[in-house]
Amino acid sequence: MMASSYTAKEEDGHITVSGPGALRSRKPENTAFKQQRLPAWQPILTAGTVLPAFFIIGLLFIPIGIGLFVTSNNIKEFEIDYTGVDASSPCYNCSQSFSWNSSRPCTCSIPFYLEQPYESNVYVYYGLSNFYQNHRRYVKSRDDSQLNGDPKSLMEPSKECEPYAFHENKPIAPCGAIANSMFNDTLELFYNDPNGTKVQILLNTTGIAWWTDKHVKFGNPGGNSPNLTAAFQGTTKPINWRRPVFDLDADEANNGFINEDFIVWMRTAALPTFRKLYRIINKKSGMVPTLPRGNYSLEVVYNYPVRSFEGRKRMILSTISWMGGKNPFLGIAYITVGSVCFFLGVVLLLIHHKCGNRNNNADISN
Amino acid sequence: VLIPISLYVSIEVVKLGQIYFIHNDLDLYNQQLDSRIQCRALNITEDLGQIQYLFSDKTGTLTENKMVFRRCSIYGVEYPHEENARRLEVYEADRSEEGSGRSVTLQSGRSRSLSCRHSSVSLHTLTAEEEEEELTNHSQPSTRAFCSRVAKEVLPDPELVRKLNWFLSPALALSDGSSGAPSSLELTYITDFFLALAICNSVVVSSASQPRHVVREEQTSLKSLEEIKTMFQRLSFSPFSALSILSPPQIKASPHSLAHRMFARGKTGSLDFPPSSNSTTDESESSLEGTLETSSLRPKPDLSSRVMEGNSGQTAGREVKDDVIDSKTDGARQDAEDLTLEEDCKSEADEELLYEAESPDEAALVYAAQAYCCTLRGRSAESLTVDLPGIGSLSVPLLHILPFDSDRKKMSVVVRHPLTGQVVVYTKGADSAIMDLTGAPKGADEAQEIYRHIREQTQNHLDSYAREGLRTLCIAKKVLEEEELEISLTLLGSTGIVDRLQEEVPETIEALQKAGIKVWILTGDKKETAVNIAYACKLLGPNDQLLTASCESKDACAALLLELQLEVDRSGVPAAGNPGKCRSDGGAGFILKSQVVRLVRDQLAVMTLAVGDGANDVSMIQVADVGIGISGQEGMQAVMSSDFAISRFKHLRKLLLVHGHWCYARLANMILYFIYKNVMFVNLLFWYQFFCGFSGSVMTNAWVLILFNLLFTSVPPLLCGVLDQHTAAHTLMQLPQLYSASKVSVPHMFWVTVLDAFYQSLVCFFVPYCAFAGSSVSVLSFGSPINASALLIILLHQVIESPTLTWIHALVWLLSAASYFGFVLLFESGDVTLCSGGFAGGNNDDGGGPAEGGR
Repeated sequence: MMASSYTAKEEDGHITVSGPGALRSRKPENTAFKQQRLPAWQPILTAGTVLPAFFIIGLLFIPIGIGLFVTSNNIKEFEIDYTGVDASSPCYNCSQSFSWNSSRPCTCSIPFYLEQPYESNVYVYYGLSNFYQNHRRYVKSRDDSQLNGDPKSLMEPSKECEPYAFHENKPIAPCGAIANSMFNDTLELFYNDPNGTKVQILLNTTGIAWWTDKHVKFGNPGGNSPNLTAAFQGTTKPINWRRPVFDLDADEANNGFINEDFIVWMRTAALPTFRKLYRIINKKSGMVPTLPRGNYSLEVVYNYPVRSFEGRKRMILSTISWMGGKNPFLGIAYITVGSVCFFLGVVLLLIHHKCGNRNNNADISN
Repeated sequence: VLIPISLYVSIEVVKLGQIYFIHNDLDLYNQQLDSRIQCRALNITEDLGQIQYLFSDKTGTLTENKMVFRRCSIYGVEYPHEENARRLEVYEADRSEEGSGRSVTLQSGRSRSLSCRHSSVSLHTLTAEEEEEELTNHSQPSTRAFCSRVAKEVLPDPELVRKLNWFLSPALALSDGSSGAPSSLELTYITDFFLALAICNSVVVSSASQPRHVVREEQTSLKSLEEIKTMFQRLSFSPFSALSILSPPQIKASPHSLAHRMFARGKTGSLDFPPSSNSTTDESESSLEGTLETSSLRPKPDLSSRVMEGNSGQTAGREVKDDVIDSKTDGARQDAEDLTLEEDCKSEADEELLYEAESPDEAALVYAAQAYCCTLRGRSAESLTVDLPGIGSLSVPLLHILPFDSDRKKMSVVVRHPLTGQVVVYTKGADSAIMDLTGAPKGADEAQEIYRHIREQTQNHLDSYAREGLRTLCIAKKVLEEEELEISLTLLGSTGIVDRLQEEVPETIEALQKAGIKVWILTGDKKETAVNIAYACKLLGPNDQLLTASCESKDACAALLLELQLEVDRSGVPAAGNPGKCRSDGGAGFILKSQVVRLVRDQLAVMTLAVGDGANDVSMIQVADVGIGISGQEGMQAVMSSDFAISRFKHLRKLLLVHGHWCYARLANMILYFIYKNVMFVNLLFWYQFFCGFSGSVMTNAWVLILFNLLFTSVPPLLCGVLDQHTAAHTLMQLPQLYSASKVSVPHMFWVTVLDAFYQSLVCFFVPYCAFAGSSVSVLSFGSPINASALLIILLHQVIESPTLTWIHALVWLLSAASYFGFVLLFESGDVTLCSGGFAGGNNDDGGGPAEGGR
């Protein structure tokens, strides 16, 4: 039956002509890459690799977490909501009787008590909640070249700024919804000395914006011309503003587009609840704390309406550390993950020790 | 964000990379043909990994398509050609000893001849010829495809040689009368048989020095005077002794002397009776002098065999050499005798003739005829030049050729017989086509009796050939008296041609079946041949139940096939069972092949692969999901229409089991990884929508968003799709079962991947979110650490998912991460006026660490 089942090896076993000078052989090169024989590492998860990994992660993450957590806890932070939602709130009246074009500013004063002295530099923030500065159309509604001082864009703002590009046939400077909605409350801090005097705390208005923003990205039209009023000739202020842009600050270096409050506002926040740096209270010389323990009052010129979108306004006092502001999350997260890893490591080690003896060698030897 | 397009592009690129590696595989390279695998379709690599049904052509695909004359049956007498078989086997053994070391040098060729000298005399000629051919092959490599050495060398059957020698030297018959002197009718049959073998074809003759010359010289049967003179001179100058015959090595050493002797003997016969092609029409004229060639060559369908027998018995004692008679008693000498005949032919053919035939069968038959000294010397439009033993060159006027076609399954030539002048039709064809047409000859009852016996015997032989897996052909002839063609032919005999299986075919088929692929062989062969081949290539095992279905029409066949298939499927017969075998019957041929493939593909909704080498496989190759052409003997049509072109059937094993598996797994994993990557990244943006009032804003710079898929994470999936090896190649080769196991549950894996991506993007987004909650972070400063950590996690994910990591992976990851950070830093610093981007590095450790730790 199988008589003819012999198979043929290569019948013609001759060498193909492959000598030098002969026609090039089409034989594939016998290289590790082309023959797919590259030395490869196969990540096989065994007890020998997984257990140390768990322990290392655990032992690494727990100290980091503790460090972060401690750092975060050492940061002193004080937050006060001055929106005036409750009728008992001092700013209730201001929040109720608001209108953008009100000529008479509404002021309110909120007393608060700092239980701990703030030793180092204290950063004063204003915080807004439920304010979607990251909304797509809002984020786009600006003209960066106008803000950079380009005279052409000053007079012809980008279409992105619509409907805040022109007002009464005059170009708006700065144009766009972001600028138009700039935070315009004025916050002032007073220290109520135990002896009864009320000392205003000096708030630095500069040094709150990014250096690149202030010096590269933002610039006034007309370069270093001292006369901003002339530079902004022919433009009009944003609709909601009370003062034109060249009248934001008396200091020429902090006026116009390079006004730091303005720059900070223009850097749109990523999340609907955010804070923005408002002022800096510099550390005093000597051993005197920047903000000693005691009674303070926050005087607000209440201009910024948030009740229409159920927003909140806050004033925040905070020191900072190398990791930024107060946020215990990272520390907790690291500690949690590290602990879980360590715990799993222990559990797996026990399991491995108890049940894994049969193929101990195979596992560990890897 | 660019998912469909980038995925599409990535898949194309990955397939290109896969093709590159397939193309460069050393195992798919054929040293002999110097051919690699040709990947003609660039985008169906993954189909190679999901083949369920494999349809294979037989001839040229499973087999070498190098036909070797194996045995024949003439006049109802079988000539088993044992020497031939042994030679093939010894040769085979030799070849397998060589193993895979294919660099057969001249030196190894010699050592082989030394080692095998004892086994068979024939090997001398084999090796000698081999060396010789090695030399010629360097100059003319192109001819090798058509005339393989084995095909060329047919060792004559001693019995048949003896009978042929009969009329060369009638004295031999006298001395050996008891062992069955052939009747003259039988001799007629034999001579006609070989003449038919030599001329009933469309073979083109060429020689090494004169390629494809049509007719070398116009020779008539009449010798010129000069030639006769030279005959005499040779005869007188050739000294020979018995010793030279007795020892084979000496034969090899002095072939010329032998050749001269044999040659001379033949010539003297013809000299004594100057053959005149038309004179000897009556058998009575054939004299006592035993010029049997004249009489035996004459076709005498209605000849009284008795007369011939008597005639042959009366061969006269004109003896040439006595020592030859002695040599008849010894087996070894018999071998030597064979050799003499062979050498005779060789030396007569002063240059080696090369035959180029349309089909290898024809060439094999011509070479077989040549072995019996019926040498086809040349061909022109009007005539054929044939050397006949003992006669020399004859010019056979060619009247008409009815070429072979697959419907008639036979071909015929009409010639005027050179000796008798009769118009004779020689027909060669499939047994089914010929046997029906061979009617009983008119004439005496006795002759009819003999003829019926011949038919029965031949039919028996045919059946036994088929059981051995030989390709059978029948040879018949008819003397034409009026216009009647190809009917009531006289059956001369039949041939069995062996077409050896290619190397490693059984192993390959076995592996493919283990891999869960149902292998069908579509062939037009006789059922016995088909079954035998199926056993030979391990398609059928000894325990398999053989169901046979036969049907008349195409439609009925289709229905039957389907029914059979469904039944087999339902009854759960393992893959090695019956459906492994299918016989495409009847003349429909290639159309039917494609219909079978289409039927299975459509009705069973399976992935099919068709492999074939000839023009008749083209339709099948085109219909199947994956068409594989074997670049072999039968031209380029199959290759041109195929998706992949390989040179040996055994290459299928690695192509499917390793490359198919890899490509499939790679592509699947690549797509999963790609989806993971996109889901993971896009979901980051999705989570952000909860914090931007679903306004569609993004916390990422638009350029980073675009380049994230395009640049930063574009290469890792490609790596995954091109380089990953889920299982090592040798494991896949050894365990074909893994082939079917590779089919991953796609919906399940898909959803797992998507959920994983969701989870990772959740972690990746909300860890930074919680870290930044309530702070003064700006939009892009918030996005940067998220992007950075997402990128690192995506890369880290591949470290975990990827089964093999090489330095290329490491490099790509390094470059991916570096490109991101580099781009962000450069872009933000260079174009800070336009983009209020934040710092890039930021908090990515915070994001990445817990995220991965949480996994």
